[in-house]
Amino acid sequence: MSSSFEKINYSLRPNKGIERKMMCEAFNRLALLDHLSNYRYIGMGSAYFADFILFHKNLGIKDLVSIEKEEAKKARFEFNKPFSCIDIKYGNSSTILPNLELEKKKNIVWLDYDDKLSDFMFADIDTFFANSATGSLFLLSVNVEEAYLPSKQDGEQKQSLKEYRLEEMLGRVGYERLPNEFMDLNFNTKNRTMVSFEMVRRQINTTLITRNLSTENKVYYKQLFNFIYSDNATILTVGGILYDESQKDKLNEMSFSNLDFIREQDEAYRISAPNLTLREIKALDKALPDKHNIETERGKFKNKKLEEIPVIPSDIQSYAKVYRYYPNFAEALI
Amino acid sequence: MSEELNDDPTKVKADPSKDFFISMLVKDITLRDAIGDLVDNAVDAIKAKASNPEALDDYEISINLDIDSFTIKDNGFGMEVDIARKYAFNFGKSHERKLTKKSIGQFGIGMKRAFFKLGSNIHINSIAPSSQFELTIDVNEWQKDTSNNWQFEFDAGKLKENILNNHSVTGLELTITKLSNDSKTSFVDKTFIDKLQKEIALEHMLNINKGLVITINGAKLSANQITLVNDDNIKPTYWEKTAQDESVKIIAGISAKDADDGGWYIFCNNRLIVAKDQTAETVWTGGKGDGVPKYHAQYHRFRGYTFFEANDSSKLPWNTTKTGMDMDSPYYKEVRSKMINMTRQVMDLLDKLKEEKEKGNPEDSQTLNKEVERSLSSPKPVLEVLKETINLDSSFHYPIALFNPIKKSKAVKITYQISPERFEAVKQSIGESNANEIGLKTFDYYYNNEI
Repeated sequence: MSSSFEKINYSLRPNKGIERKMMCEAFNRLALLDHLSNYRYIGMGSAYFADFILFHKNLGIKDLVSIEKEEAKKARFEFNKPFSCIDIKYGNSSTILPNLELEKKKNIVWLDYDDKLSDFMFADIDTFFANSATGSLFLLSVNVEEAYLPSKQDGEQKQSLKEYRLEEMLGRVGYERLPNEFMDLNFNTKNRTMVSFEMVRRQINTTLITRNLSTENKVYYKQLFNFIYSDNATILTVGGILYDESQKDKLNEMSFSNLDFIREQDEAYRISAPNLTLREIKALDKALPDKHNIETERGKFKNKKLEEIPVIPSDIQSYAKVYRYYPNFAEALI
Repeated sequence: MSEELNDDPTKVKADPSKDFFISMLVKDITLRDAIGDLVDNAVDAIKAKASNPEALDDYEISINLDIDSFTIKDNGFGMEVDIARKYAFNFGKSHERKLTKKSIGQFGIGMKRAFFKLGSNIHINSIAPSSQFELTIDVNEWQKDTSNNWQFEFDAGKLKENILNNHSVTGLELTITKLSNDSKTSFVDKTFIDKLQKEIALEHMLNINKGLVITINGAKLSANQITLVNDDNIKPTYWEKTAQDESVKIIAGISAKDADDGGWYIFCNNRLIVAKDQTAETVWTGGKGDGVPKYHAQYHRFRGYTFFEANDSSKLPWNTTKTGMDMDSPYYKEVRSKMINMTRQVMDLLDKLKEEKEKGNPEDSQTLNKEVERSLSSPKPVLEVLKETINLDSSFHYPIALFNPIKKSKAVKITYQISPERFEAVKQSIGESNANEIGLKTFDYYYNNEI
């Protein structure tokens, strides 16, 4: 079976690219807490290392660790390492993470799984929240696409789609993790997103409660990210910052909430990049940022320049939300 | 007082009865644990006397049991008359009472419970540094006395106070006769005695390793050392938390593969509470739980040791029968979370050892396995390792660079099916009966002749 990096060119996933840049912009604010160069980035770089390149170049982080499951393809990963300061650790995240001394320095950890939420991921959440130094940032991305019934063999028992989805979900996370109030849901993409979000949140809470049981220096978690996007499958990304009492003021100073993609609650920020030509992008960029805030009057943009561009208004609105993060693709002979 | 209450119509009677008390006390304890409680008390008395709790060579606990009687004798501190008079026989601990530091028993409910469980005639002979006494309890007589008199009496003429006994003669001897039916049937059962010897040896392995002699029906108990690999290649992961009156130390790594010995060990004040645990009580919940995957063959080399110490034994997160941990204790929850993390650290190596051994990887290429085997041949006693924790940290170290799994992507696998007749013909022609080999040879033949 080939890995997802062999099937998809990561750098061609526009929504993921936007998400990455938004995160990077948020990470910049961590500088109020500590020099960004004192942070370590722990991710799952695959063979493209798109996140590693961005964070190294933009944040100046020099201590970067990529967790890679497939030791067998070591040569290829090592070959594709874009910078010398990336250390690739081969193995399962659930046994690699505990050995990374998360308590010794501040980390930005992005558990960027390709997969649907499964039991080993809860172990990773537990490891991060039980051990990490305060000031560390946590991110987790999972595939929340709904499951479909496999094609039926002759004589096989009929099972409803809803039953199948529940069974599939229980097989991944176990009976005890699935919150009671979600047991009766049909796990379509919407509900699957909700339940995944809730299970991750519960695991974070449970681990923090245990960690805080007998310590003086209580640690808290503030959610900052709740992204949903779909380049192919629907992906949910949740994340936030771990902090203690002494960092509370700094955290306020960082004023994450004035970044419009920050989501501290259940409701997700949906990233959806419209497909535009380079010409359209150039024209739109020239009219942005819009001092009228993309407002319309009787179905027309207040901003005349926007109105003149022959792109459907909803795409213009979507683009205006993400134009600073929008990826530029062009075929180039290098 | 109960007379007065009866006259007061606003009061409700809530007096205890001895019968009820005794039956309640013995209900939740096994014979085996009752004896364990008495051993714990003896160990406490010895620790109270020993000037160096790390060197117990001069101390002995001897236990004898047969169809008529049970005796346990130690050469510890003995019990001072004043302690006996005011505290030791109370049902329930008194707050005024000062406990010996780092005790494990201390004449709590365990001692009385053990008496009643074992038999109905109890005789105690105690020689302490400044007093001595003998005391006999006839449980049946005591029970018959319903006058709400909850006292025992020292044996007449055996009570001496304000004396000076030489340290070499102090100690306590407890003899129980008129054995309970449980005791009678068990004490003639060789299997029971055998199990008792093994379990007491395990529970007090640390004390036995420190020189304490425990004999049961004349047989001296021996205890294995708990061990861990700790060398230049492999270093266990270590975590500790120390406060003024209590501490916990956790150390985890690998040791020689003895299938039964793998798992977690938890000690409270040197008494082994949880041994070789491979269940959810420690960390092995399975992937769907909050711990690590279920224990299985792959983890046989895993060893984790947790040492709780507390001056006040009530601060230890064990259950009241000392047969396991108090799963609701915040202290244990915190420590268990660390244990889970440390198990995952060691599993990183154990998973890789297994992966490297996967079919198709020639033994010569299993470089990590080879190196680990070398280290496993000389594990160190944990107590030695704990003396040099300065060399350890919160990560598990092993020579990861030697990990050499089979490179699946480099090999191409060919499978095909052919008719038995054609196979037979080629088989005869090549002179080889193994289908794999025939496949390889025919490919090689083409390669050598056509490429």
